[in-house]
Amino acid sequence: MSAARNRARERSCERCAHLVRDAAAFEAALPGILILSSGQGESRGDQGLCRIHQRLVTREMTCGRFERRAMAG
Amino acid sequence: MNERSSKGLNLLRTEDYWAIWLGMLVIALSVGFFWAGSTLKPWAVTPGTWSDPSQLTADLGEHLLGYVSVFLGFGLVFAISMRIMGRNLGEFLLGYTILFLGSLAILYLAGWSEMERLDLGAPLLALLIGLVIGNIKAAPEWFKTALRTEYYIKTGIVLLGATLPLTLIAEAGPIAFVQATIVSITTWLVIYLAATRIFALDPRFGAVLGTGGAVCGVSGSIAVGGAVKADKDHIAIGIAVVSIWAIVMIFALAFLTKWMIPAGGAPLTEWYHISPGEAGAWVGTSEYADAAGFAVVAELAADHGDAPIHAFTLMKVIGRDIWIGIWAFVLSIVSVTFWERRSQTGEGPQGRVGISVIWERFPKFVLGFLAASVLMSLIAASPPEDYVGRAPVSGTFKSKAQTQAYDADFSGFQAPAALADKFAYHAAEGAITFQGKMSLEELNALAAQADEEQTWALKNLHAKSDWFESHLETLVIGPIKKLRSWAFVLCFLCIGLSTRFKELATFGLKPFWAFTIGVLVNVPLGYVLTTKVFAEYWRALQ
Repeated sequence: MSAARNRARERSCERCAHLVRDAAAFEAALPGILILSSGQGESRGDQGLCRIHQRLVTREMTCGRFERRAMAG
Repeated sequence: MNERSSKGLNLLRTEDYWAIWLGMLVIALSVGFFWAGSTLKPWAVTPGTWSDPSQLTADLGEHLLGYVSVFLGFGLVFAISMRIMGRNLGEFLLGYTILFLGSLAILYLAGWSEMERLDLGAPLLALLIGLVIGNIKAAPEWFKTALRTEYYIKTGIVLLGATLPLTLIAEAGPIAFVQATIVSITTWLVIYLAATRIFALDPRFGAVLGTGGAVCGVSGSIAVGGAVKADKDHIAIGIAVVSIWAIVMIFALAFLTKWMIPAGGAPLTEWYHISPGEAGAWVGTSEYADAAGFAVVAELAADHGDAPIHAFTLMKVIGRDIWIGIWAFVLSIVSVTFWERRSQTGEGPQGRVGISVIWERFPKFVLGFLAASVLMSLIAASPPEDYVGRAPVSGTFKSKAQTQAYDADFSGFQAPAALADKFAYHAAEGAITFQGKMSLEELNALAAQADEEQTWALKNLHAKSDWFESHLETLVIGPIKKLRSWAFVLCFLCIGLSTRFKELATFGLKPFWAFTIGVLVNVPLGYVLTTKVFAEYWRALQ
């Protein structure tokens, strides 16, 4: 992987504190999802909700409001 | 955490994979019991029919141990998986227990003779009862942990794979793909154009609505929503519109197809008649979610066998669902290239998904469905070489069309010379046997020498000589079908209980009408393609 791609990944939504990733929180944010779908399926995968822009995003996306998520442990 | 261990964890992190593990475990148990000379039948039971309460209590007493085993077996795997997926175990177990008892009550209600008179099966009853309860009182938060519509239906679909021969997928799959592609692309374009050109909605909102109607319902809207960076409120509206239409279509398609399919396998004589296979394929093109479509075809299956379920699965799962990753990939490129440039404010999320999204969004439970089909097809294709079919000289002949008791005497029976080495009469055991699978010509040759009672016994022997029908279907596939019924009813009850119309109907009319225009095109197009263009394929499907 190139250095540029590594840098982009370091500042991607995947590592951002504003991303709602947890399945239960994802389901709570989208009322009605449990009727015919789920936040725990492959169709959702690694997508999450951006708290800042209120948009559904995937892990590789980026933006100027990036804030690093604190690592567990 | 390194990439390899992360990938390993993925196999335990989504409902798709857990549906595969649970489904394959059930199939392995059923095959394992069979190879050990036993069967899962006593442990995989569903309620029988009844007309007075004494029959109900007798049935309950007879099957109680079976219900406990289904409850514990499913419950154990569901509970372990929910815990690993980070859910509250106590909440799930309490909710699952209520759901299971509710499903048991619904299955008993569906077995009541009065319900048969009303032509209401367990799928529609579960949905109706769930909708009434769910709309009178909202489910508490802890209970929602057990409302896993998609998990239960995916488990049911993996189990369904064991009952769908691979040859059927190979023969009808390409037709399903062509028909589904025509319907999917047309429906998507109609909804998208209506949303953007008539109602001036955001293109990405149009894409979310279009994918919900054209590909795989709410899951499709979510998969594409992330790829095009859709607004959260647009996703929520998409979920609401798709869910409302999916539930409306369950009842509309169930009652319409019930009316259109002639009773008892009668010929298609009226202009509006369609076969069970055509009904399933039509539902497969015109329902918006797997769970909703299965509610319709499972209801039809009670009267018309598995043909509607098989046709629906080929059309919806093989024809539409598995292409969701491609839709997400293509629409992500379109979004970056056109839609976002037009609405660019300069500070929103940037970038697009890579080609890996095609695999990442692929509904993995379909792999379990295919693996189950391959496994069972391989077993079915390998009957024991020295298999000898056996039927009693006095007994009952049962087929899908008729049941006949008989009492035959074979002491003076002479088999034709060409079959003398295959057919045998065992007076001491009161049985007749046939080496290998008896063909229809061989049955006719034997029956030409027989009286009426002997003919019934020979028909019984003909059925018993088919290793698949007499052994595999009865002892292995039968129990799997019963457990599939449990997974389906759990799912349909969840749909009803989690649907709150008041909470869903909070969107403006523009997205609703855009989607409705798509419905108005999709339903007749699905009907024409199924019953006119590709009718011969769907009519031949069993």
